[in-house]
Amino acid sequence: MAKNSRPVKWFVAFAVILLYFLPFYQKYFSNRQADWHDLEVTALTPGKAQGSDPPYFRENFVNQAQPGMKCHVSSLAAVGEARLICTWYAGSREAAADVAIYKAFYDDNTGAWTEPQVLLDRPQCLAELRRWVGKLGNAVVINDHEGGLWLFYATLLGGWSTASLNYKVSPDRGQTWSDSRKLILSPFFNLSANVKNNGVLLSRGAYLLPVYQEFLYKFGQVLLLRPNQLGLSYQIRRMAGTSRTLQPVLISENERRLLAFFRNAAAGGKNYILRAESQDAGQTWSGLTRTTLPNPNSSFDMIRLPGGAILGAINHAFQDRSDLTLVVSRDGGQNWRILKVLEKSPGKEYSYPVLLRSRGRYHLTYTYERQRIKHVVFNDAWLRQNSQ
Amino acid sequence: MIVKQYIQNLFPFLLVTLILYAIAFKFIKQKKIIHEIIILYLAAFLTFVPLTGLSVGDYILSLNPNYSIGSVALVLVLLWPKITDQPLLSPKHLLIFCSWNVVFSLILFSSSLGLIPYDMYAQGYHFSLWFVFVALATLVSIWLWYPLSFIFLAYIAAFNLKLLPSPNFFDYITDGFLFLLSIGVLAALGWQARTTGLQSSQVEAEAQESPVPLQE
Repeated sequence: MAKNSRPVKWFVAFAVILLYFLPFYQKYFSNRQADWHDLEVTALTPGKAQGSDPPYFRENFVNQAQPGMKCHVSSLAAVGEARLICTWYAGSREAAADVAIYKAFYDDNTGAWTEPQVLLDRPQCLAELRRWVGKLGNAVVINDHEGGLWLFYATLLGGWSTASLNYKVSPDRGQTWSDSRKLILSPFFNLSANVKNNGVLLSRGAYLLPVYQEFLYKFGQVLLLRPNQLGLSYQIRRMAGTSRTLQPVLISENERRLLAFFRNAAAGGKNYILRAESQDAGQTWSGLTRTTLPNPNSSFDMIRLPGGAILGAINHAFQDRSDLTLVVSRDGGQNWRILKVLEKSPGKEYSYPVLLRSRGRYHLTYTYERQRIKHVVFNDAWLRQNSQ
Repeated sequence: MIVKQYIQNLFPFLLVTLILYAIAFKFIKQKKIIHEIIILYLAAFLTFVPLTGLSVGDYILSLNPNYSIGSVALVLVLLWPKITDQPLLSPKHLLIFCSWNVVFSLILFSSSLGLIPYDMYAQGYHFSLWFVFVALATLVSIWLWYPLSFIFLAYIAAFNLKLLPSPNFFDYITDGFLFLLSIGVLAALGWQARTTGLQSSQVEAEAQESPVPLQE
């Protein structure tokens, strides 16, 4: 080394220290609101139970069956007063190139669904992302604190293990949508990330979205999202272990405590829904424990009831998805009991339920024999009637 | 936003240029400036102009939406001698750089793909001990006055400027493509060293056997 390069070295070394000081300063001094440590769960209790209302139960379909069309993976979100949006995907088969994401709106006053419309298909997605897309996959809609409605959806290069996540946002309750943007959630060719269940709102405009990865190992992850002027800031963390867990469902216990329930993707045998806890708003998670609920490697959903109990919609079987059952737990998901069997037809499929509470009523949508999305509405009085 | 989009396209442009150079000068024996202008023009055309809805650059970015600063640097290092006939990094430094890429990537990918229980990728969003580790590696390379130090410096400079789509610092250091390309370069360097070693030992053996000195 030449002697006269020494001052240059010191200068460059000083520049390095300055450059690394910037993220240090941002983390510990200037950007405290970006810190996960300070976030809390908002909207803990889903409102009071409607005590005086008579039991209410109603079933209908979001869409009608069409020859050669399979539909799957619905998602629900409230869009303003007495209105819901439902999204799902449909095509010639699951993960086919012709799969598109559909939307329909429900009017709670009339009890009717609008005609399904294509929200996003492959050519539109390709044009928006300016990336090659093999297929479209699961989609989830979620409201933020500011009235924005977000759509997170998976695009696939090949099989499900090549899924990556993208998002669109609607400023007008699902009528129009922004162009798609891709999320970078893995350093290895962005493999992989998929979504199924709804998220949990946190303070300071942030929210958590449960996602999962399927490349090599299957495990749940949680995505901390924060809308900003440029779109979305985000970070991803792994949840409990890598024990073949998929499609986590998040339930808030208090401002910092969260429960997560996982689809059990272990092969063969009698498998049960798995459970983990977080004491720090989803930043770190406990190990997995087994619940008493059977799981035939199938998705489910859960929701907090006004009294603190947890309501679940699951396939209550070890082998197949031929039944759909409502279950309830009053001890944080340790013990469960059956509330109502909604579907039971051997050889048929009733799967991927989604639960939402809106204006004192519960809305449940699920895949009905892969032909249609079924919509079931009930209230607290109906739940009480069935829990006796 | 616009700067980000241009930076994103830098990698596909360099890669397409590298491939065109490699192909063209397999057939063209005497390099002329006009050849190089045509190659650069063609590379820009293929990278940016959509022919079937998407450009070649878009297809490259479809496979991996976030090419790291390391990837840009390595492709530039491979391309540079083809344009200037001068290496940007010596074989020794190229070996160190590719080894760093492979080792760092193996740890990061093992973690993010769930092969090990530690969640390293989550530590890349904000300042963590891993930042200190990379900073120290940068300082060591500066102290040794390695040209690699400028690549290391570019990681953090680009991260602070948010030049890539990913918000994670580790995505500025490595990616899947860099991992595979680094393995390829290491294999090529190993093969080269083996061939050179064989040739030199052959020359030595011939010199020992020869009754007449090879050189006077």
